[in-house]
Order: sequence, then C-alpha cells, then structure tokens
Amino acid sequence: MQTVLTANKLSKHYQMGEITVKALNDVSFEIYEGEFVVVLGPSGSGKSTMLNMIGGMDKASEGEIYYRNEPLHEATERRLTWYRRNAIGFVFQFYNLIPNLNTLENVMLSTELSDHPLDAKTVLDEVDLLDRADHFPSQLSGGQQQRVAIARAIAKNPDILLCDEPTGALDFTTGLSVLKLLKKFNKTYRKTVIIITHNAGIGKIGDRVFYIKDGRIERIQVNEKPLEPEEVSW
Amino acid sequence: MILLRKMLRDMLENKLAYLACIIVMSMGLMTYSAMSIVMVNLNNARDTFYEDYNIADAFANVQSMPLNRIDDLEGIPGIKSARGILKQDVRVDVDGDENVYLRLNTYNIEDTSRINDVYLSEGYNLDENSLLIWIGDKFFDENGLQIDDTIDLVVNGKVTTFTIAGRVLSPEYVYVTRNSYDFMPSPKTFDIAYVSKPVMEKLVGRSNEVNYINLTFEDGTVYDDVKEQIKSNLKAYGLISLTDLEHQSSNAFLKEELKGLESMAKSMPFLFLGISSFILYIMLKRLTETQRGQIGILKALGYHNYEVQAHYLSYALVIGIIGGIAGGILGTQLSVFYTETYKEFFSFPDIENAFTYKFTFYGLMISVAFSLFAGYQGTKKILRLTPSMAMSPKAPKVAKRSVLENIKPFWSSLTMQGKMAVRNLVRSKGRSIFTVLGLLFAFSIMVVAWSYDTLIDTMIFDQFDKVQLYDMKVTFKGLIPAKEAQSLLYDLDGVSYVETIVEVPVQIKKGTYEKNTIIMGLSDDIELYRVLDADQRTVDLSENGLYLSENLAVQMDVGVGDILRVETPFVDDYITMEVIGIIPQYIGSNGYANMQYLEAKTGYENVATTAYLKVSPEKSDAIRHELEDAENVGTIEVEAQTLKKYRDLLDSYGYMSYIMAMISIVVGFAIVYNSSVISLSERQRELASLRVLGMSVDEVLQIVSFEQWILGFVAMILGIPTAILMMQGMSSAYQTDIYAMPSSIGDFAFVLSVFGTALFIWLSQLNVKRKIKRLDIVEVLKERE
Repeated sequence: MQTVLTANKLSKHYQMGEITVKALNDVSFEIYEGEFVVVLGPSGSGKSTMLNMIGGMDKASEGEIYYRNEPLHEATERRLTWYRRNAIGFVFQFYNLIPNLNTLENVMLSTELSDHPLDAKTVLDEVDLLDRADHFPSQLSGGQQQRVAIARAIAKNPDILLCDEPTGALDFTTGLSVLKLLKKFNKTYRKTVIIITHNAGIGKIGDRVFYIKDGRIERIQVNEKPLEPEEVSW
Repeated sequence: MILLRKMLRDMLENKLAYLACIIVMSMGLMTYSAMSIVMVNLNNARDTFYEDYNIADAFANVQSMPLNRIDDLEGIPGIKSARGILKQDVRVDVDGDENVYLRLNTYNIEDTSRINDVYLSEGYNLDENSLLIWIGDKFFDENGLQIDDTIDLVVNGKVTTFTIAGRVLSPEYVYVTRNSYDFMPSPKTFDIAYVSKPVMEKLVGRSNEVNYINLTFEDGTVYDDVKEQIKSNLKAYGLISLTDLEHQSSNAFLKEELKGLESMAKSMPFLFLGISSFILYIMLKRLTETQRGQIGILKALGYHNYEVQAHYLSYALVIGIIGGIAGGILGTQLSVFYTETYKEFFSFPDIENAFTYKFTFYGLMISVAFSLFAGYQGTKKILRLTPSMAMSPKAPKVAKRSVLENIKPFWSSLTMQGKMAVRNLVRSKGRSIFTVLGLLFAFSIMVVAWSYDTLIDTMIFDQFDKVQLYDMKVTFKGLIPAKEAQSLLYDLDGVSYVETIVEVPVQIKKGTYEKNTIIMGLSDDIELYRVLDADQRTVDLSENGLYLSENLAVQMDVGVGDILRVETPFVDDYITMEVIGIIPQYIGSNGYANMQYLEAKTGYENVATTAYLKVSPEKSDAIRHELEDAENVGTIEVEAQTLKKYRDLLDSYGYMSYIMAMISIVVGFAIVYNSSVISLSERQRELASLRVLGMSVDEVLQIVSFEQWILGFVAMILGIPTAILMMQGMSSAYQTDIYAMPSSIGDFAFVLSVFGTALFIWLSQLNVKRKIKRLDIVEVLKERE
C-alpha cells in the first residue's frame, strides 16, 4: 500500500504567557492510501493539534510531515492552500456550514475549488439529502447538517477525509448513520479516512487505531477485522 | 459565484445597516456630481456669453468725457477697442410703496462691434427717434410685463413714457445688483435697461459725452500692462473707478459663486465618503470577527487568502458601487434643480444643463476606492489568521477595572446594568470612539444648521438694527453743499432729523494690492449711523485716520499703522492716509473717516453726497414722492422696505437649514444604528444569557441604551467646541469682497441639536429593542462561539 501521509518526530508548541505548552510531542506515523484510521484520545491529548498538522491548517514547530512526497512542514501558505483544496476534505464536530448558503450551495462551495470534483447533486443524493438541496442549515437537523458537511468534504474528491469528532454532537442513531457514510466513502472510492475522536467505541471500525495521550502516540493498534459501524455501540 | 450569494444574503440580513452606509455614501457623491455639473454649466454659460457678446476687459467710470476723446484710448498699445456709453440709474414711476430703479444704458445702434453687447431674448430693435426701451429679462418677468407695454421713467424730475421693445440680457450684468451692499439680485425692483444713444442723450441732457468706458485688450495684453496709461488718460475726465473684468461686480459675484461651488464639490463629498468609509470599516471589521469560524472553514476548504479577502471586499465593492451609482444619478438629477435655482440669480441667455454621467463615473471610482480601502483595512487583520486559529473561538477580551470604577460615588450609584454598560464601553474603545465621532459630527452639523437664522440675523439684520439707524437714505447726484442738503430735507413735512455725510469713491493701494471702494466721511457726533467694533461698542471716529472694514483689510493685507495711497476723482493728486482701526462688518467693504479729516485731505468743505433721515412713518411715502421729483436727488432708500426685501428673500432660503439638519440626522442615525447593531451581534450570547437569567427585554435594552446615552453625552460635550470651530472655519472660508460670514451660533442651536441627537439615539434604540425581542435564546446559546 502506498503511503499518503508520513510524520517524523512532529511537534507543536504553543506559548501561553510564560508557559510553553507541548500540544504534540515527537509524533511519528505513516498513513496509507485507502486506510480507515481512528485517532483516539481524551480531550487535551493533542488530537485536534494533530488534525491541524495533517490538514495543513497549521505548521509544525519541529519535525517533518509529508503528503506523499510533498514536505508540508516547509510548504508555503500557497502550497498549503493547494493541499487543503485538492487533497483534504474536512468534517467538523459542529458541521461548520455557512449559514447563509443552502445545502446544495454549501456543497458547491467546495466543488468550485477542486480540480476534479464529483457532481454536487450526486453526492447529495448519496448522503440522502437531495430533497433538502434548497434548505438552509438552520432548517436542518444536526444529523442532516453533518451529512451535508460530509457531502461537502467528499464532493471535492479529496485523497484524505479528515473528520474531527464527526459524531460528537449527534445522538447514537444519527452518529451511526454518519459513520456508515464515512465507511461507505472509504470503501466505494478507496479514499483514506481519518477520524479523530475521544469515543473508544468508534475505534473498532478503523483499520488502525492511534491511541494518543499527552501529545504523544501511546500505541498503534491494528484491527485485523474491523467492525462495521452497526456492530459497535458507544 | 457561491460566495457572491453568501455576500448578498449576509447583506440582506443586515440591510438597514448597509443601507444607512449607502445613503451616507450616495449623499456625498450626489453633492459631488450635482455641484460639478452645475459648475460646468455655469462655466460654459459664462464663457459662451462673454465670448459671443464681447465682454469688456476693463471698465472705467468717469464724471464726464467727450465722446470724441474715446478714440484716444485706442491709441494705447494693447487696447483693442474702446467704447463710451452713458449710464444712469433712473426711477420707474410705479404705484405702490417700493422704489423701483432701472440702470439705463446707452445702446449704440450704429456700432457694429459693440462691447458688452446685448442679447435680445424677445422683442424688436430700438430706433433712434422713438421712445423705445429694452428691459432686463428678469425685471420683465417679475413685473409681468409684455412687449409693447409702456413704462414711465422719472429722470431729473420729469416723467417720460417708454414703450417696451424687448427683453434683454448683458454679459456685463449676469448678476445684477445695485451696489455693493446688495448682495442678492432683486429683479422686481432693480434691473438693467437700454435705450438708443440719441434718446439717452436727450433724456439725461448730456449730449456727446459719456460716463462709462468699456475697453477690450489685444490678445496677450493683461490689465496691469495698460492700467496706468488708461488711468492717466482718464484722469482729466474725473476718473471715479477703473476695474478689470476679474473685479467687475457681476463677474466677481459669479466668480465667488463658482469658487464656492468648487470648494463644496471638493470638500463635501470627502466628508461624507470619510464617514461612510468609517462606518464600512467598522462593519466589515465586525463582520469578519463574527464570521471568524466561517473564514476558518473557507480556508480549511482550500480557499486562498486573496479569495477570502476578495469575498469580504466584495461587500465593500457592492456598497461603493450602489452608493456611487445612486449618488451619481441623484446628483445628475439634482443638478437640473440646482441649475434652475441658479437661473434665478444669474442672467444667462441659456444655461444648458450638461446632462452628463461623467461625474457619476468619477464619483463611482472615488466611492469604490474609498470603500475598498475601508474594506481592506477592516478585514486585513482577521485574514492573517491560520485556518485553525480562525476556527477556534477568539480569546475573551482582557477584563480589568476601568478608571471610572475608581470614582466610588459614581460607580456605586450604578445599577448592575449600568456597570456592565460602562465596562463594555471602556473595553470596546474602537467602537466607542467611532460612535462618539459620528455623533459629534452629526451634532456639530446640526448646530451649524440651526444657526442659519442667527447667522443671517447677525449678517444682515444687525446692519439694520444696530448700524443703519436712519429711516431713509437719500443719495444726491453729486457733491452738494451740506447746508443746501439740510435745508432741502428739513423743508419736507415729517422729516424730524437730518445728518449729511460724504461718500468718496476711492482707489486704495498698498504695495501690489489695489481696491476700488468708498470712504464714508462721518461727523464725530453722528447718530444715525454707528460704526461698531467687535464688542458692538460705538467706535470713536474723532481720531484722524482711516478705518477699514475687516474684509477689506484682510484682502489688502493691511493693519493698523499702515499708510495707504488713496486716489479719488475729488483730488487731482493722490493722498495718503494712515489706517487707525479695523471694523468687523459683514456686508460690503469700505472705509470710514472723520468728516473733518476727510475734508482736510480732499480740500472739500461742508459738502454732502448722502443724507440720513429720521422721518415719521406715516409721512414716509409722501416724503419719498416729494424727493423723487427733487432735482439733485439720485436715489432714495427706505430702510423698512430694504429690510423687508431681505427678509422675504432669505426666508425663502430657510429650507437650506432644514436640509442640513436632515442630513445630519440621517448620518447620526446611520452611525448610532450601525454601532448598536454591531454591539448587539457581538454580544448576542451575553444578552441571551441575561434573558435566560430572567431579565426582561427592557432591562437588557437598558444596558445597550445606557452605553449610547453616555456616548451621546460625551459627543455633545465635545460637539460644542467642534461646532464653534466649524462655524469659524466656514466664516473664514466664505469671506469675500462683498460680504463676510459671521461665526455666531444660534440661540437655540445647541438645545435643538441636543434634541436632534437624542432623537436618533432613541430611534436606533427602538430597533435594538426589536432585535432583543427577536433573540432566539435557545439557538444563540446552543451555537458554538
């Protein structure tokens, strides 16, 4: 399997007044094409910082991170934007839809950017929301909003889908449907999916689980037989 | 494309705030394009009229010059042609209590290259034998005259009936006023008229002589090249005044008006654009702050910084474009109205409205530039954040005690809402300053607007109430013995008191400065005319020397102690006079001197040119009629009539102050409204939390409104000196030969402005209340910051 992401001794330090906080400390890993990875850790463990590094939203203080052969740690702002634009699809805990754009427009917001996007309506149909295409975020339930967010991320046709607590704001049933959708995307399109969560139950559906604590990867667990979302509970 | 939709929806969500910004911007551009077009119109009309009707380059007034000596002037190198005419103000014999005069000019039918030629807008030609007359266009209209109507003129006590052959305009009289004290035309009672040369000569009894000479110059010749030679040539004929076109009365008025228009067209728009840009800056800054998370998302999705920046600049661009186009179109329409208004004052054959959208285009460019600049300034900071920083909530503002909290009695007197309001004000310094500045501007403009009446009162009516204390002013045709004048006037039934004075036409010089004016010779104990100093105290005129009106002194750059060279037709050689005082005076510019001193200087003793009368009101009309027939009497001015004329005229322009007040209310409302909307959206969570705690809508409103009242109070306090400075600035900007603008603040201007300011604070609070009511407590609190 080909490597899509490689991190070598990746660190991120924040200065908080006189104290230096090491949010990420000497982290190394590889993530492969088509893999379903779950990054698991309690709050404050450095999960979100890791997501920011992987997503090209922030730069590392030390260490290296590569997208395929591209060194993201020394990329210019312009190159990072290109990376986010074409390689990454984000799904956030609180959906982060643009309130003044309707469902279809929120999806089109990302298809307009990508060099090789999927058809916005087709993707909306895949997440079962085509009939809500002209609804605004305020007219949708939390689960529906998250499905729009997933559609928005998928529609760019990115290499990697990066999900930050995608079920965090949802009830179990709705969360389950979201996970199913992510799994489906992973299988159908053979794209890498990285889920960042504090929810240990979700770990069982990943090909690999990165346990993260105090800014370090404690261990990496390989699931020989990952479960389907409907087989897990939390 | 998608972001365009977002922008439009965002703007519609806050439409009133953006609309207010557009209104302020379009007002600026409306002024710009309207003033600019009117300026072009007036300039074009003037240039065409002057060119086509051969305006003179210099104008001379002499006592009398034989017609056959005019050609001598053409011998002066640089003089292209010279024409002499007779000119005299004659009274029109009309019923009613008003004095009506026409300035009668010679029209030389045979001359094929007349200077200051006449445009006949309706009617037929004059001839040499009939009593035909051409009348000024506006007089014709104002008095409801028709061609072939008759008009009676009283010349030297004799009534002559003329037939009106036409209505005319002259480039020499684009702005028709009778003398330098009249600064607005009054076409119902004064205008120009023309009769043929033989008729004129017969009428005034002056054959083959002229009293006015018009001159044109060769190309490349300027006034200074030929001035001295013209003067020495005309000296023998009693030169009273020599003026170049630039200083000629009508042209000078026109020039001042154009100058005023130009400065308005240049300064007003930038004032409004400055304010609207400021509003826009604050709004976009706020928008990017509240949309911090959305900016993060856009960046995370892969939008470049410049794309996000362009998105937020598109808000500014839309405001700039709509404001620019609206302002331009409104201004272009308004220019038609303005041009029509100018037609009431200026007499041109045709002022074409150059209906051009050129200035709309320029205005659009200016407004777009201003908006983009404001937009860029407002958005640049937030866009520097990395996507991860942008998506995380902004760190709360550092909270610390404000200085006000140390003032214990003040602080402990505040309710909890009051304390929150004060802390919020101190913490949001930028917004507080913005609101204070906006209110300050609106308040000061309002004070200026409400001072209009007082300003006019001081400017004009003070002259009547405090300076000119006479009931009637009689000007004789020339110098007459003072005793003769006195006995003539005292003989009239109803005249209770007479004082005579001498008005000497002079040309005063100092260095390169030169002015034609008059010196009024007043006796020490004059009672019917007061010369007042800055503190409204009567100036003691017993000292020997010259007092100059302030605007004249400023224009000639002279001060007390300076020695001036004075030329007058009364004396062959020049005389010198020392300036011993400067008199603040708003209308006219002239000099004053003690009568004995003036007599000693000129060598004329016990003479008079003018008399001031106190008369019993019921006899006033009879006295006037009697004087109209007197041989030596030139003009009669009844003070009450003049005063009424001014009052009527100025009352009709009182709407100007209402327009200014309206503008300031719109601007003030736009600012207060925007700042409250911004404050509200920034504090939705805080206010919603208070509602959840159990505060009523009114209690929550109290916090926001208390802030605004405090800011309003500060703005009003600062507004007092600002308004005073504004008035002083305006008064120094509007100082001309003809009038000076006082800087007095109206009696109730401050009080009215306080009410005005309170009104728009209150209006904006109504809207805030509506928004607080609509606050969806559950949703707001559920949303992640």
